[in-house]
Amino acid sequence: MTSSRSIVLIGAGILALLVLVVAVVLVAGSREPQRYPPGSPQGVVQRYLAAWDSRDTSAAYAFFSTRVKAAWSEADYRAATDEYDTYGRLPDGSARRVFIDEVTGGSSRVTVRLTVEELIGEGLNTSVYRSTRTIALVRQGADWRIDEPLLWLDPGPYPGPM
Amino acid sequence: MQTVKRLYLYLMSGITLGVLAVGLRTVLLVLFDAIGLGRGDFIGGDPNADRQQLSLAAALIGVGLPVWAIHWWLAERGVRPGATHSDAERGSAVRALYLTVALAVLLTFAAAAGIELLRGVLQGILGGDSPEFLVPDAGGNLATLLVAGIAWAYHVSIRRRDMRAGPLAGAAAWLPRVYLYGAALAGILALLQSVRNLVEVIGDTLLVPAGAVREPFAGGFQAASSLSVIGVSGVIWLGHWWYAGRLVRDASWRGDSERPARLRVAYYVGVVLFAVFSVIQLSAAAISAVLVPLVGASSSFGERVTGTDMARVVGVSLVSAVPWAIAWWFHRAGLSNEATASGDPGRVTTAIRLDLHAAALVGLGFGAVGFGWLLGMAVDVLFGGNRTLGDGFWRSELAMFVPMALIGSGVWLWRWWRIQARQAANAVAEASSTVRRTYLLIILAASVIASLSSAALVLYRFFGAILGANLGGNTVAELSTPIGVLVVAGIVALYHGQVLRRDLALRAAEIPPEEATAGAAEAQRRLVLTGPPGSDLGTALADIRADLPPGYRLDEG
Repeated sequence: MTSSRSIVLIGAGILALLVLVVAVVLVAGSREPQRYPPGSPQGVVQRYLAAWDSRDTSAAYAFFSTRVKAAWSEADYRAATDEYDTYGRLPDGSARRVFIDEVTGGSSRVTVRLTVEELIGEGLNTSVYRSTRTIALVRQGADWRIDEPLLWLDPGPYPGPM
Repeated sequence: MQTVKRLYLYLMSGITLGVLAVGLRTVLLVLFDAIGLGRGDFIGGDPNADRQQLSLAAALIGVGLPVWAIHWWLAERGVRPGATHSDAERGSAVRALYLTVALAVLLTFAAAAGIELLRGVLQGILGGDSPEFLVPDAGGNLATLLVAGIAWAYHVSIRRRDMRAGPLAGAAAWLPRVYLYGAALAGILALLQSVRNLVEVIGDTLLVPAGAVREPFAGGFQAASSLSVIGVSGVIWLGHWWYAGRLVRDASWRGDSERPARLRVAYYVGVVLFAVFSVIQLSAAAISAVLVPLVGASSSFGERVTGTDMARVVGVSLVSAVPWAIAWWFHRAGLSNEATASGDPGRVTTAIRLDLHAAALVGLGFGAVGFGWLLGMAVDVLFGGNRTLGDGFWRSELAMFVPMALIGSGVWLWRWWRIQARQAANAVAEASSTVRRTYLLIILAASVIASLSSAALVLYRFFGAILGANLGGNTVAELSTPIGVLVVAGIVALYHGQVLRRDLALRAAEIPPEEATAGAAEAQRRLVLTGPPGSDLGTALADIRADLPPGYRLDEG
């Protein structure tokens, strides 16, 4: 095969791949979040995140365990979320996605391991930053509750209430 | 002008290849994400983030692909069969440099991604937690592996096509060889180091250290990490070493060019140096573990060292040393066998010298460090320092540096004995050898550097005392190690300096007086004769000699 032909073939292959991926993404549409049963640890984390995203502080606070609530009043939590919203928010144009990697533990305590993907920057300066979080959940009655102070998925303010 | 043009073409090809590769990796990442490969379950956030990434990837490919294709096509047009100066283009140093750098960078990315991917798979089998800082990214690693791997394979095919087209000489031959043997060397060193890590993990699992607080990710994660590096670096080493072996056995110009290659010899020597280093270090660690209870250092670190700890360190160190010892034996045998197969007595002698001097150099390094430290402790004891007061750290130092001094010196004596025996048998030939002179000069340089830093520390204390500066600490204790290093470095430098002087005297005495005077009287200029591929340089040289004026002669250097 001549070098010119091989370069043309490489270019054609790359363009074909690009077209294929664009088609797959368009056909597949936006990736909808996986729906978990509300009573499962994953479902609790998912509903907590949904409450946070909709800025429903009371609903988000309700997902904490009694141990966390005893050390962190709702008023303090609300003040901390306001502060977090001011200083902890990502720059405009960024996007976050949260994935559940695994859930480990027993019948009374579990740890949910998450991967957070953040698009930082704009235009050609965009880069993807990936990080992990682990969240401890404890069983209280029939429900799972988050057993650590969180602001979104970050640890609560320092000095923390716990 | 051609060189500047080449620099431009290959630089642009390299930069745009990088842009294209980043774009392609992102496209694959989005594709894997769309088909649910390499990510956990999406539970929240922006569902359209993929489209933003795809837009960026399309932009990078839109810019990178045409610019890369144009520049690479122009570079490739120059080496097409039948093109004017195609041999010069194919054999250009700039093209060789581009291929060398491209292959090395692409292999590095592919290897790193392959290791992470394999580690994830193995950890799924072996179980165990991962450390918090490690972000799972199977999709990203698979995308990097595919893009870098395919680009690497393409550049390998380009290099092989260039070699099939006819002989390559100079930088066009040796620069890509730097990549070939560099990858083989990095591969085998990573392989052996990871085997050592794996043995440590097995040792820690079978014989749990006393009072050990184990990380939750210990065991499964560490074993998976070691095994993944063993797998990937093993493939890299075997692949490159097999290909280099094929080149050596090739009956065409490639074999003729590869067999005497100095970089191949450098690879052998590199492995021997690292292998000797590791064998001495691990053997010293094993003996040190036995010495710890004997010198009463069992409680030096706050934890009581138990018999289980000793058995683990001895077992792990000795088992870990075995692969390094095999590598040492395998490579010194390879160096020797290839020299013998060449039928060139000079090469055989050089191979023996390289093997002996490499081991002697490493042994001397360990011996000198060990004795320097021990002498420092002796100075401290003799002159009333406080390093050995209490039952603290000094006992551990003793247990650590005694085996280092003994084994290092033993290896040095073992090799130096043979070196000197060869010197006694053929004094002038050995005195004139570049290997021996390099060995002596390296030792002198290392001794001078060690002496300088130690002397500076001694003077610092001395001037501090004169000027009344409050330097703190016990002066004797602070000066003991620099004095120990200074004395040992001085002895090493004096001994080897004497050897070097004797060698120089022998060489000077061996040059015939008439040669020396003729050399001084005659005017000389060194020339290089270059011909087209396949040309008969011998005939051309004979023709030139026939046309020389009376009194002139042309010698081969």
